[in-house]
Amino acid sequence: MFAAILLDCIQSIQGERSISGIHNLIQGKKSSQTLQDARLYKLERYFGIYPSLSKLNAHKTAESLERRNFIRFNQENHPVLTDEGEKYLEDSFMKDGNFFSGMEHHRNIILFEKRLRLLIQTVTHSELKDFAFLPIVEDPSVQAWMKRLYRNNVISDLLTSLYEELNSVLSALSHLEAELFTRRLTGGGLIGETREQLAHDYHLSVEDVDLLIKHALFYMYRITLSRQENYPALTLCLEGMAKETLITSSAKQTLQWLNIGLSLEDIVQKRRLKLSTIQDHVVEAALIDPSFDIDGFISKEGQKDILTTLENLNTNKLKKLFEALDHNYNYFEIRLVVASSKHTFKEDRHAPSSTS
Amino acid sequence: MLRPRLHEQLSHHFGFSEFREGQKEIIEDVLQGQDVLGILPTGVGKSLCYQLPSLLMHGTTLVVSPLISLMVDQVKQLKAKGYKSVIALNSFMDYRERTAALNQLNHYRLIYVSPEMLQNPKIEKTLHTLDVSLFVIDEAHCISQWGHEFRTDYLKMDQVIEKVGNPPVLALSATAAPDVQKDIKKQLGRTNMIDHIYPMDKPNISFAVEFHEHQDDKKGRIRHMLAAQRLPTMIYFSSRQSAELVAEELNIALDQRVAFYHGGMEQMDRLLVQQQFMKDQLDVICCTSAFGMGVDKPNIRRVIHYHFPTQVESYIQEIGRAGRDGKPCASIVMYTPHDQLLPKMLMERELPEESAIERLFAWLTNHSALLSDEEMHEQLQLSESQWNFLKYQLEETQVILQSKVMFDVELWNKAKMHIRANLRKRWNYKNEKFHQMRDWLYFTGCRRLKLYEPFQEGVRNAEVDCCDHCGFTIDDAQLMEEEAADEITHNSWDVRLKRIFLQESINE
Repeated sequence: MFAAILLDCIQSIQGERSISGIHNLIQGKKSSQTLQDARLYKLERYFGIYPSLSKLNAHKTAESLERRNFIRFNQENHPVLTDEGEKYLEDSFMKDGNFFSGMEHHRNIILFEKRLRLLIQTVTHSELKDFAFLPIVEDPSVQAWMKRLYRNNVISDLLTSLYEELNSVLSALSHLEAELFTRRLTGGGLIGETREQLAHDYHLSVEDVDLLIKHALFYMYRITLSRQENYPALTLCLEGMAKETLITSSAKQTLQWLNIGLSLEDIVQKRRLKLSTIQDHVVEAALIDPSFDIDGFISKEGQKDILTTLENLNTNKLKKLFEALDHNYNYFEIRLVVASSKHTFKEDRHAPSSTS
Repeated sequence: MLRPRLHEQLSHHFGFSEFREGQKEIIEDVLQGQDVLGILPTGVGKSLCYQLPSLLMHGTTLVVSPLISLMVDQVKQLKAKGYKSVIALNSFMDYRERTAALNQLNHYRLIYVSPEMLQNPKIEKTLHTLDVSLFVIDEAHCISQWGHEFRTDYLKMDQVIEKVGNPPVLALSATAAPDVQKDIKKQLGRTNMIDHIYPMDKPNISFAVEFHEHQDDKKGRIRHMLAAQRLPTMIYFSSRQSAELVAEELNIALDQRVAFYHGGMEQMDRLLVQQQFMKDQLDVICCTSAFGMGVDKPNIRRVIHYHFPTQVESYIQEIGRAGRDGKPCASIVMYTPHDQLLPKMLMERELPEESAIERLFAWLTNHSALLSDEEMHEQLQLSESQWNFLKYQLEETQVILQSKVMFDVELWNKAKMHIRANLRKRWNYKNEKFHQMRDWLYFTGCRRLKLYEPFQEGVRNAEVDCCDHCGFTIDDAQLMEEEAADEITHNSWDVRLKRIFLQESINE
């Protein structure tokens, strides 16, 4: 699965980014460059789906893809898909559609997973009258959530409901995903298995084990979210989860200052951060929030200029744009326009420039 | 008069019906406000010696413990048992967690704190406001220059004790030779501590050392041994990589459950491996010394050392995990001549070379203050423990005062000499320890007698075949085979899900 995801990313990026750039995307690096990449290349679904992915393992897998002739590296040492790679990707289930929705849900999924694991352990051990088990999840906030939930005793037969819901959800997934997911669970006196044990038993890489389980969680999360009335027990794990709007809380804070009328320089002073950091926050906002207005940062004229060049060059490389625009605009301005042009609602907002 | 009550408390709070050897004696003295030095062998339950008093005394019990993972583990286990007013202050807490904890510190009866946290001014200040009724130093051998794990942040403990109002002190260790015991008392300024020293020899363990030519021979031998008798077994390695590698090989070669464990694993996976082993869902665990703290599995029958440790003290601690149920168990150390290099390398990573001293002073000439520890590691190309050693020396010789560099040619020359001398002393000490371990491997007399010789006079009679010198061979050992791990049947996911949710009887 990891190979297919890498290939899918490589195909969309078409030789414009390095393996490290792709690693940052899958790992969910919270930089505006990475966020921007995810939007530009329409790879939002993979953003942040594998936070513990190491750079080393991403490179190792890429090397093995090269050995298998699925990819080659261009002059800039960026990966490009070969015909064979293309064929392999077409046959993989990545192309039949998958349930990853990283940009939108990756942070909630992490919390969802922790809650679900602890809920299963707690519910089954209470049934066994064993209240001295070591919690499989150590996160104090998740443990506090569990305690609160238990005290309120919300669902009468939680054990059976949870079982039935999981049974139904897992039946809809591939056999392998259901196997891996279930064998990693701890509860009812059974201890879950480690990623390495599962990798060994199913002849998979550890990355594949992680991603297959992650995929199962994405599916579970989304089906629960969309049909809460059918999944009352799983819905408990969604409690209080906000829709993810801004990626970083730091960016959120910068926006609050902007909204009450402070300039970038004022915010630099106030927050004792570098100007470039504050600018990153603004680009981040432009990427994610369709209603974010960039007119205060660059003239309409300038926006038009940059957009025209962007369309003509058909590249997302900032340096090329910067040079093609004769250094008339700084990188911040270019990034800002590129960011807001690429998001899903661009047609509505930049209608004037696209007609020109 | 005290005794029946103590028993009641023991079973009430911890669910045990009996004290283990030494626990009751230490607890009684502690409750009477005495300063106590307790040397109890691994596996006897040192921690109970302060956990129970902390429930019975009026104020706070403060426990200084050098191993964060051990600390966190104990807190987890206490909480699982229902002891709620306990907390561990350590460097893993983020700012918010720590502030929250500090603000309500007086609500806790039992507070674990790592020695470096004691240097934190904010924590120090809060601790002063507490009513400390017992000050505990766990792994007390770390205080001593002569302890095998001397830790610089463990020094000045006497000053800390004074600042929290001079409460009674309990110093605990599993491995402290007589010279270390003396030094502990001296460092704490409490030469009149009451000794509770218990013999550390294990009458239920047999010893064997095997000499091999190659690593492959060791692996073959282990495969053979494991296949012959399926028993809960630990195999110690000195590197993460070899633990992983051998675990994988054994998994392929044997029809048994083998897993590895080391400090580089994800937290949940570490917990899973520990728990699988505890619940007999694993037969064999290939691990580094990171495994074992807080793992109290009674029925470990074999402890195999694929690599031997750098000192006898660590070895004793590691074999202490075997046979806690008192039934027969065995230690097998595998040795190839090549293995000597590994401990040497480990030692070199711990202590700086002499040339580092010149490098350090050259650096100091160009700087007015120290940088953060991480930056110092990088600039001087030193490991964490190498830098800790030098930093402590700089402070002790007053070349550094509150992170500022004091320029003074005479002071510097003296300091260099002093540091060089100390470094040599420490190297010699480590080398001695290493040789002591190696000599034991080559020893041709009774291994039991020799092993415990530095720590105590004589040993109790072995309840099992004593050692390879006295006629023990692992292939003939009777180590109770009935305790093998549960057969794991790989049912398909729907069956496993039913089992987890205890739905079997209903739906079948």
